[in-house]
Amino acid sequence: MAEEVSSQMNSLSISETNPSSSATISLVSGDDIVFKVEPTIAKEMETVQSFIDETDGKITTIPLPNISSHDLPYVIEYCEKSIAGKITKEFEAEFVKKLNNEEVKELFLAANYLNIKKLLDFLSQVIADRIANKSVEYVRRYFGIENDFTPEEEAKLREELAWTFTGVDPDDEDEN
Amino acid sequence: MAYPTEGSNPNLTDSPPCKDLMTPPADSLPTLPFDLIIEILYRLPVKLLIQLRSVCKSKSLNSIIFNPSFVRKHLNASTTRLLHFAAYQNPFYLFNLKSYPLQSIMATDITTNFTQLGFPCYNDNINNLYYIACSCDGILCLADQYQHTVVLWNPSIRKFKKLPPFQYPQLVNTELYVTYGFGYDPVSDHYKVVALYNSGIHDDTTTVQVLTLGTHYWRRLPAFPFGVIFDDGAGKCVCGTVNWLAYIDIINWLAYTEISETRRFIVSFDLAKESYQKISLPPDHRRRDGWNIKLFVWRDCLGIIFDHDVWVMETYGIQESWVKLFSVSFLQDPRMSSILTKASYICDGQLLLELKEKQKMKLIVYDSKNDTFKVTKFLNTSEICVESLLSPDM
Repeated sequence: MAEEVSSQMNSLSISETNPSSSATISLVSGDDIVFKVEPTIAKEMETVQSFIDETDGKITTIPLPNISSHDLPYVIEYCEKSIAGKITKEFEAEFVKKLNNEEVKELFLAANYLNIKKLLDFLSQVIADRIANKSVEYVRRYFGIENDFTPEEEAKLREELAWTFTGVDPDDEDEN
Repeated sequence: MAYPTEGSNPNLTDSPPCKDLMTPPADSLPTLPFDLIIEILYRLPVKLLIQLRSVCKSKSLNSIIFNPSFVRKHLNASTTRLLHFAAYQNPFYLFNLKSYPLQSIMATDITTNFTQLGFPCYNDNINNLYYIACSCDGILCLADQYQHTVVLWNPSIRKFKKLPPFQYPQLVNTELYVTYGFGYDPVSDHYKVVALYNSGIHDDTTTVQVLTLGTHYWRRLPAFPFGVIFDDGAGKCVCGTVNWLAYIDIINWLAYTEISETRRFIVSFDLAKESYQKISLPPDHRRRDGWNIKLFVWRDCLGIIFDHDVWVMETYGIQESWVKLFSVSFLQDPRMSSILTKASYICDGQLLLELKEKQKMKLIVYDSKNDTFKVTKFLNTSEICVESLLSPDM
């Protein structure tokens, strides 16, 4: 992934010298890594595009302090595929295959922050599929919701909902 | 990692991607903003959502899960469909509902992978014979064969509502023919149950009563302006209407040896206007005299199986839009002596056909793409219904 990005960055910096092509956009991740992308990619990211529009295109370096250099290449890759009209079920399956649940969540937040509707929809479904058989404790942790029931209240509700507590997978060990 | 929900980025706060964020209470630190959690929640299966009521108290998932707009959003996104079977099982002769995931339709082992529930209101289970009359948006409409009591039940959330009885004539020597319809009226955002009855062969009127969910009484509507229902199947809901097969004059029908097909048609009941409309059957039906005729819903369109031809009305209410989709070869087989009792759409051009021969039921999955069929292991009439959070107690 990192190699792909750097080779892409090279090709982009070459095209920068071409006066006929529009200026590339520099996206700066939270850990200060610069990713140069074509303006068409920026268009996919509504948050970035509206920032460009507001400054009449004068500013082409966009700081994205909430997105890490680990997540940004994934976002860019998805946007590229989206522009090329190449978002297939196979691509999407491959795209998330290597990501663990925490990484999917980070990417989901990044998609929300950048306001990329398609990616957000897709990742919502990925998360839904992944937590579908998880325990309440796991979901609580994953969503970051604090359990504010007293043990008695929780036990009572659990009893009432006992019929729903069947077929729960064990929690992933690598995530906590 | 910090995220923009805290408005921490001075460059981009002018157009935050997420508006109307619910501010989390100070004592908890959610890693996902609440409106994003909702985006995930409405894609989850019903059982898990019910279970998630026990996640926390203050940000009550309870109130979100049963919030009407969430319920509708979830319903519109729901792709989980269930295959329900109602039966009275020996030795105690008690009502029993088995619900399978629809994907199990061709399962070779049907003794596993289902949910089994008893009758929702237990005391009613004596001297009654309930069957699944119809269903809509996850709610089954159970009707009693003898007392004509109606119970609405969403087995996925285990909530039911017994409707008040509707008035019908107490007949001595003849049987009362009762048919139902249950549908959603998008205009008023209400669900309505329709009960129709006719007191047998000497009665040429169809009395109609309707109950709007949320109210507790049946309203008697003007009788059918044309004909009586001849099909025992419940009404089919399409585009805010309920549709039944009807026949113009049942007394004359008995006198005819050959049925005059022009007398058969569809009665459409508009759930919003509460008015009737007559819809003609597909164009070439005049040459037909068979009784294999069933209405069903093909995707969002009204469909009809006529002998062995499958027609769909592409634009609802427009007679010219009847299109013949295909013919079902095995229904043309002259050796076949069974009667088609029900047809339901599964997916990808597949139909579930229920056939009856000498009181024995056969459920067949017909694939219209290659005109083939497979016999399932199921031997009882079924109801295919989406899974939803919709409460019948509105």
